[in-house]
Amino acid sequence: MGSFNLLVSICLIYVLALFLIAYVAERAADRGRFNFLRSPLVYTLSISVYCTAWTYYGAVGSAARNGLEFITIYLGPTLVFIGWWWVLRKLVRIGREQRITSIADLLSSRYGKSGPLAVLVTLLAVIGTTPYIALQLQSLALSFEVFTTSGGEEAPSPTSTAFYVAVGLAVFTIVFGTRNLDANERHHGVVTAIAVEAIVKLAALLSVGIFVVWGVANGPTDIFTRMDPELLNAGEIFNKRWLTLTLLSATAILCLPRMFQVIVVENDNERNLATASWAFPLYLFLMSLFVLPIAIAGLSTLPSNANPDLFVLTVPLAQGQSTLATFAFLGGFSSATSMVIVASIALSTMMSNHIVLPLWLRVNASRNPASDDVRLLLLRSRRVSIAVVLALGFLYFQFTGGTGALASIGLIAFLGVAQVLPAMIGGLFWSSATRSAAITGICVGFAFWAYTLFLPSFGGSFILTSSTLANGPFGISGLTPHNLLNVQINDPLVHAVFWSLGMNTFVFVLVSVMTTPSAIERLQSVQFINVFGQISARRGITRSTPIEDLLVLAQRILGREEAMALFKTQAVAQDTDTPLPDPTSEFITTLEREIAGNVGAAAAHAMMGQVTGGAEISFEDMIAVADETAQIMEYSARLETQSTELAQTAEQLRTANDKLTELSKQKDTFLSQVSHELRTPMTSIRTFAEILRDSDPLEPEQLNNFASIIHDESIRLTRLLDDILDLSFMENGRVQLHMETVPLSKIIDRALTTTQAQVNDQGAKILRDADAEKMMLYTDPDRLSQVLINLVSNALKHCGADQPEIAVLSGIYGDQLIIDVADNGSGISKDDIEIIFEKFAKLSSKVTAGSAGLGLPISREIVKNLGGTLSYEGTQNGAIFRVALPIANEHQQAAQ
Amino acid sequence: MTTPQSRAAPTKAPGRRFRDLATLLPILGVLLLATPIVSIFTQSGQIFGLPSPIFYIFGIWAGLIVLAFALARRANRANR
Repeated sequence: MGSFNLLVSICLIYVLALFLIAYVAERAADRGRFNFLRSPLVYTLSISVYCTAWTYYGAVGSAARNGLEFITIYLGPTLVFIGWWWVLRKLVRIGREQRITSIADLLSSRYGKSGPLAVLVTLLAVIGTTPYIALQLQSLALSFEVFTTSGGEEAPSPTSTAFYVAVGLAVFTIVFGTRNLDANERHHGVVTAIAVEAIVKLAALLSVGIFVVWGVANGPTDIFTRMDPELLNAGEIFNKRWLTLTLLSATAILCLPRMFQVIVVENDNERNLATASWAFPLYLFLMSLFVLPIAIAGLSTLPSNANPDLFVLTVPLAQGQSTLATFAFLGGFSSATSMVIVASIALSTMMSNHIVLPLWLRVNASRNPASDDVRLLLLRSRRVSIAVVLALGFLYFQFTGGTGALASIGLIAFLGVAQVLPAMIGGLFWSSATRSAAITGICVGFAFWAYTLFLPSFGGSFILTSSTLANGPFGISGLTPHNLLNVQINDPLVHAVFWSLGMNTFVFVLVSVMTTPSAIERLQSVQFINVFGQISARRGITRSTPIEDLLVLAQRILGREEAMALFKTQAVAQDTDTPLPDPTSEFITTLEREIAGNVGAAAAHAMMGQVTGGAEISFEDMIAVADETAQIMEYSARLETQSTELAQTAEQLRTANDKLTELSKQKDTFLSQVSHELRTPMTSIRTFAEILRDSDPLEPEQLNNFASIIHDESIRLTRLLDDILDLSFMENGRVQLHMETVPLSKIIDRALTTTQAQVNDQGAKILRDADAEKMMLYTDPDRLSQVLINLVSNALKHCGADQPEIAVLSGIYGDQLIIDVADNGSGISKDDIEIIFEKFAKLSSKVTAGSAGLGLPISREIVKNLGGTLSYEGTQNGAIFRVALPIANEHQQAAQ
Repeated sequence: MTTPQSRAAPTKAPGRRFRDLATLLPILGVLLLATPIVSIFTQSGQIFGLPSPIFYIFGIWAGLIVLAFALARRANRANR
């Protein structure tokens, strides 16, 4: 009686210790003390969840029956791990980059984030794992039974043992597996507990092995001499079954949901994988090292009816080593519990993510999926899922427990889950693989697996009858489950592997070739296949819907507004409910065209080709290229603006330079003319001054004459200098105008009064229009009369007619006041017209005396300063100078 | 102009040689453990007092682990 209670107490203490370890690890993780938790050692040990109770107990059983064959279950994973550079490295990287949460998520994400595919893989995983969980429960029940019966007690009911174990595991898994909703789906507490259990089971098996080899026998040589030579089956070790089992176990390490969970999802650091690449094979090596010796010891020391599957327990018990046997029992207990815990976490994640959540979203379509509701829902659904998974396992155990069916279920479950392999490997390396191909391949493989292996494993008690098993349905021998088309493969497992995986792969490849992947699948396939092509770590791009990726790409290339406008137009054209269009191939073509308008057709094709097709460059690279292009475009646009500005400035500079050169020339001419003009009066002044000084006393008349000349010349000189100054002021616009309102007649009167002497000299006749002169004018009267004086005086001077007539006429034409000063002379020749307004202009025909030639330039400047123009309107019948002044301005000014 | 340092330590993080070896190792493992080559070495007989099949399988297995260990050290050094 004590033995059973003792065992239960040991188990309870052990479980409590695991709780404590998991709790401490979680606390450490919460405080950010990850160093130990993240070590490669913990990672490697957690992978040992591969070694379940089935391998722990069953490997010895298998060795006792089939010799070395058990080793294939370890060789497959060993080959996969030493080949980590091929597949595992890519899987782990993709898992991290794409935030993959389970194997169903991996396939769904690769094949265009397909919901149905995720559901299919989840169902497959549940169907493949439930028997396996049942197997763990059975092994636990059996090992309890062995212990209690060996103590002479009545065996506890296997059902109640399995039930309590299932409940306990459910509690542990729910407490530590669904404590929070981690974005990365990492469970530090659970993983640490699993690592501890891995150490326990390895230590237990090694202890039993060492005891057997050196305690029961006298070393390795001795134990193998006790072996039946037939057991090893030397010379025939390699056969179809060896190859099939190696392949199957290699597949299992990649495809089993719990293995995916610990290898990919719980991976913290890719470098841990490099360590695991040798450490995990080493673990397996140590686990299998003493399997054969224990089997040999069991076969040679125990009665022939002893169950080989329990040799790990019964050999020490038979030798009276109850402590060692208890330790071995704890090893088996660890193997079973760790498997069940991890498997139920992996399955619950899949069930809640891929089945419960989509259903809930469909039912509550109107509610905001970003709210906390979903997170709470996920946690609850995971807890329920864990309970459901364990309940399913328990029910399966109840249904088939004790029958032979369960014993062989390990490899059968392996093959069921292995149906994921073609789609997974194809998804990692083959860009043409499509979603429909993955779905059909898995379905076909699953159907073949169920028909050739799973249903027959019930021995005719479930769906397939025993007559169907023996002779095929309706007696059609070609459809016999264990001999399809009479291929004559004797081993049912090899037969099933051939048909299910073979047909699966064939259909997968065939459908892939026949169908075209959608844009989203292409995008994901690039993400998966070129996962190592990326330069920088990506943040979140891939988890958002790819149309947003396209939008980002488009925005960076086309600009925000343009991209949004394009996407909106496309969405309207596609008649979608969302503001963004679906990434159909038409849309991508359109987008490529739009982008080609900005970066050129070749670059656009390459970019879009990367998004939709498959080559080295990654999406991130494209974003970088797009950024760079946008920057370059902006930069070149800026450069262009700058160079235009530069060209304009240069043109302005050139014009300014021309003007300056011209001005400089004018200034030189002006100076030479000024000096020339100054020289003439200066010369005469000097000459007469010399005469006055040197000559003997002159006659008073002569003296007077000379003094007059000097006086006149001085006045002329002064006037010239005044004119130059005046002109200079005028040209600089610095002249002060004294505006006032006066009658026009007054200005003309003043001008004519000033020139009266000249008029009288020449006997000229002045014509005026008294009526027109009555108007009032707002102007600078002094300046305007100066202009008129100049014009009249010029007219008198240059008229040349015998009877000079000067007309000063005014009138209003349009909005201008016109004052014409006309004479009846010969006018000005065409050549001279060009230069009369130039300073110091010397008219060719007539040399002006007593004038520096500044009159007209000054007049023109004055009129310009008054806001009008002075022009020559000459005809052959005399010269006409026209002063045009703006009149509207004057009226306004006058009104004020 | 190259400095002596840059000449002495050319940068080749996981180099081609490493990648080749990492690719080759599983092929070697499959050849030795999962092809009829196994049959050549697993005839009856004894090596060092152990049945030759056991000696061969476990020996190859241990060898692969040692090679994987060497490669992993190299990979982690290169990643550092």
